[in-house]
Amino acid sequence: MKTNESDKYIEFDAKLDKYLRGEMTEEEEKEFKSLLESNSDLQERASITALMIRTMRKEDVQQNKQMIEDISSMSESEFRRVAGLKPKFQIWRKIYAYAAAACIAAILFCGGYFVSQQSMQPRLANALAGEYIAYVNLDQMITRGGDAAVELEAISKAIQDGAELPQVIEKLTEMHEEALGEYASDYEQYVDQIDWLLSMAYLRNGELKSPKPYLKGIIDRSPNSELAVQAKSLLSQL
Amino acid sequence: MPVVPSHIYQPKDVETCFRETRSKAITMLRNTFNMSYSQAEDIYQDSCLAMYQNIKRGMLDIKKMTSSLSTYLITVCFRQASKSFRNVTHLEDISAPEFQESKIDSLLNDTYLKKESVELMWQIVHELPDPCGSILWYYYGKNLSMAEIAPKINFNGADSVKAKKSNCLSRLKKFYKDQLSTILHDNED
Repeated sequence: MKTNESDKYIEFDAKLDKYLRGEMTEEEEKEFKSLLESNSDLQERASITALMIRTMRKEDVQQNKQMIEDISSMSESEFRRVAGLKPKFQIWRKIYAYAAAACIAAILFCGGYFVSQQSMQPRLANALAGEYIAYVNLDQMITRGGDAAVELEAISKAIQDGAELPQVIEKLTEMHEEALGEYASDYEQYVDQIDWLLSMAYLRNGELKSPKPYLKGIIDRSPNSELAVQAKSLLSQL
Repeated sequence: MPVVPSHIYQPKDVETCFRETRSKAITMLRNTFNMSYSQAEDIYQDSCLAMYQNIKRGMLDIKKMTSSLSTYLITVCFRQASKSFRNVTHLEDISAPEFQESKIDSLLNDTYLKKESVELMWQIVHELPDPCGSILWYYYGKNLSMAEIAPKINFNGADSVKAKKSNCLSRLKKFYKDQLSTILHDNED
């Protein structure tokens, strides 16, 4: 019996909550009001609950009032600090942000330029080799005769074809050292041609810096030669 | 008799209120709108500033406020989020609707508006013993749901809280009626 009474109140309290929260339809509200009118016990229960809610709500209102007063007396930066918000984006921060963005852009630009230069280097070197390689007078070398001349002719052809360049460079380097060594060598008379071909081999191999000492050597040794004129012209472009 | 349990209704400063509201609002926004933490944080931040501007301009009328500042702020957050996520409208999911003043008024006749009645209720609700004190203050004072209250008072689910709440109201009603009749009787004498 008591359980039934408890259930009745649980059910009524749920209805009362629904009413107080404004969640009833017009029909439900009408039904609820007629229930109150017909039952004084439930009417009293509803009134006491309503008074209790109002009393409790006063705490909220009082607290809200105090907090709103506190907030309204705060500056925005103070409010941001108290509310745990991010600080305002100040002008100096903007300047720093722009400066940082500019630095990043510069780094990207320079980096990009460097990378593009790096990627362009082999193509440029190859193009220079193609342009200058014809200046070695092979006919004149052959006329001078000798195994060295035949060897250089074969090397020149290999450079033009771009074949086995590392081996070609190694061979020409040996020839260069032998030509300028203490002992007499067949390569001595062709030292400028060897250095020129070595420069061409490096360029064909995509290296722009390596030819420089060999080209300077040609200019120093034979400043008035046609090869020295070409070496100066090529050096100016490296 | 104990007063209102301090863990339920202690006076808060603005900082504490925002600290508590922040985590609640961000969690609710993320769960409801399926947004990232930073998106929810941005919306919370914009909402706080909107509320601050309203307070500064005197647009927040304390007398017309039917909810706590925390609930008001969460409502603003949801409105802001709904603007950003137009396809989602979950405003009704924020929390249970607040008790309406007009409905409360409709249930209070002159007897309950007397000074003695009001003062007596104030005294009673501030001296409610637990678990009734916790249940009634959490439910009616802080607008928490039964499911939210259950773990706070170590109850086994929403239904247990619902039954106990009803029982607490019955006891409160009886105590209030007895006390009020004594007071009114004494006053007549």
